[in-house]
Amino acid sequence: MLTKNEDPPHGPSICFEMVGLCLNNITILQDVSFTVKAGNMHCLIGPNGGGKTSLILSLLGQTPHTGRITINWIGGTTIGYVPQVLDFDRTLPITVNNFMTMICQNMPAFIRTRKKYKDIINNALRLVSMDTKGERRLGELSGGEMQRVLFAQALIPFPDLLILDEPGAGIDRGGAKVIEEIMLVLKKQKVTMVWTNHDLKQVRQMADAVTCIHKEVLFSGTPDEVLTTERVFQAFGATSSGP
Amino acid sequence: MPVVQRLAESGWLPESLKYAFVFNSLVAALILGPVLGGIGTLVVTKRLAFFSQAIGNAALTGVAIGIILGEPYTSPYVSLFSFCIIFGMAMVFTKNRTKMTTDTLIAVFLCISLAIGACILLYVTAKVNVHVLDNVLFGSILTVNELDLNVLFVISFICIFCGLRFYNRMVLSSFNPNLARVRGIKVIFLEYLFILMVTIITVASVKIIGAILVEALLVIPAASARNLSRSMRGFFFYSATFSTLSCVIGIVVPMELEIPVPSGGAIILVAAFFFAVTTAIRWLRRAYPALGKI
Amino acid sequence: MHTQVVKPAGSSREGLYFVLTTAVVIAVAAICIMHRTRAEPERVLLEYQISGYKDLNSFKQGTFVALYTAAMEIDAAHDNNEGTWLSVKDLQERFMPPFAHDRAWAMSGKLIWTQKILNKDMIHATAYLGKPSISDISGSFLLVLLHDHSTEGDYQIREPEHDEGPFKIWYSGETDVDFPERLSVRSLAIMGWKEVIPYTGDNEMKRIKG
Repeated sequence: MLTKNEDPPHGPSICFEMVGLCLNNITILQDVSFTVKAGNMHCLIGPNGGGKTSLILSLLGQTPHTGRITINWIGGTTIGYVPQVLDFDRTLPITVNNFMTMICQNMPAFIRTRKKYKDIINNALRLVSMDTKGERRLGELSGGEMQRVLFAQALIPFPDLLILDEPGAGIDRGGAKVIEEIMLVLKKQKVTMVWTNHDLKQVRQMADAVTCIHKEVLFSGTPDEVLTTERVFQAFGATSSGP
Repeated sequence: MPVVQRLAESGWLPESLKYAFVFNSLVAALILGPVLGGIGTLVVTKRLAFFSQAIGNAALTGVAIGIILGEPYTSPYVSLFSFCIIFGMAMVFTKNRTKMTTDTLIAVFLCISLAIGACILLYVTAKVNVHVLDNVLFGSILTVNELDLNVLFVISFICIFCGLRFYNRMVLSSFNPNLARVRGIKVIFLEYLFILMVTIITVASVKIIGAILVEALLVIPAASARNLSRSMRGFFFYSATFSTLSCVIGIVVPMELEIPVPSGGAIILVAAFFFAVTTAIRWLRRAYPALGKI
Repeated sequence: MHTQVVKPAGSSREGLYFVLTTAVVIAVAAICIMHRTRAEPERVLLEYQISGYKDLNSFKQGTFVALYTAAMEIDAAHDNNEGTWLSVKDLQERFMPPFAHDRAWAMSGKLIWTQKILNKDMIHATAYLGKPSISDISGSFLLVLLHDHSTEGDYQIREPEHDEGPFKIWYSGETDVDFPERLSVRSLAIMGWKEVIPYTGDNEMKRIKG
């Protein structure tokens, strides 16, 4: 398991109050209000372009949002972020190990990886089953492998709040299982997770709470309560990706 | 220096080294080579090759301003640095604050800068002849003096320090700025810092390899290294090596063989040669995987 | 345990820092340039100097400009001829003004030229004195060239803005002067010679700006 020197993490609770976002005269988010309970795995679902990613970026403080987003930290205050993509030249000779090294240390990755980070990086990569592919170039990774590496990165340092933007997109079955297992472990450790997702089956199985975003909050609650078929159809229109 | 002179005269080292300017240029090449090669890896990674080009062209305007303000026209460093720094920062600022695409932006800045430079130069042609422009654009090792070397030392030191300290963060910023910010990296600050680094090393290189061709040295050795290397270590060190070799060979060979080409041109030709060879190697590796690591 | 309100983006002070930095750069540059140009001797005419475009009438200017061009030729020829200075006869054979007896020469006072060569070891110097044979038109001109071959290699780094250039041109209102014994700046200045400073880009700017 990942080693951590502090107390077991208690993730924060998050409060969204009348959050809005308007860019280039287009309203992306409007009156978004809901709560993420501490230690919960909270999924965000909704159609593409509905504002899920924008909401995540607002939570990260990187958009000029209106309204109020409050994070009530209980344990530590580390945020781990798993983005959807990395934008880079695929022919660049940067290996997975190089990438993880750059994440961890100040010393340039082309010199060497410091000893104290070598184990940490190895552990994280092993958790996502990428430790054997450490010397692969980032550009050679499949979409799923890339996602797993990005996941590993978010675990260093061990997060109290884990934010994932569509980590399931393009991932293979095996990889998805790996990530699921880790997230269950994180759940047990009471890490708060905010997770945008398209796989409703996964949401139903794993999430403690789910919120549907399509510019506004369409519905929010526990999966049992709100993930009824009509609601799903209502949210996604004719294009349902249900079970 | 006297040691080198004696060695040169007695035949141990190439004879041309007994001239101060040759020695100075070689020292400059040995410093500039690795620094440009190293920064080049960042330029290529962050895909900012044309940004660097614009700054190189701005150097011409900087020289023109320097002449008109009365600086000695073989080393108008104050104007050069000031103008190019402001120019570089203005480009970054405009990129961040407007919706212009990067290439439109660069084109606009390039043209405005060239226009200003040309207008100013019309005024100062009484004082200066066309060869000054030649030297600025393509370098002239003959006029490298102590001041140039000192400037080069200081600038290289700054770049090496900043480069080593911020390398990882700069790469990550270009991969995903949001992720970088979450990890506590000051993305915008580093953006400006990087352009600043490119600007000052460009200005310091103007004498030796010329404004237009600095960008080539920032890009070509890194591109050659990219063909050969499998990890960042190879990338960086190959790039620095190719860059240094290009500089040294490009300075020494034309002098030894007495070919009257500007140093900048020779250096770039050598760099291009390396690029061609490494591209061939890469193609061969692809076509015949059995060759593996040569 | 503490509460954090997430701050929206866009409250960055990028613009402010940019303007501030630009202002600082310009301020520093202005100080440096003022310091640099003040150190330039050419910007101010010293007591023993006169301006080639302001203080000479058109005939004298003609001689001066011709002498300036000739000086550059003599200078280059000295490097190419392995250390010999062109004589007045050489220059006349090459129809080099102001040494050649052409129309311009006749109108500018018909200067008679004599030369002195003072080579010593690695330091080669020469001087050409031109005395007018018709008075009232021009005074006397003195061209002094100095090559110091003891510096490293044979290469001369030409920086015309540098005060110790390879040649200097002096003018005296006197028409009956002896060939100066000593050619140093101080000696010539004491004897009343004035160093003629050529037309510069600065002067062009003033002419255009009025």
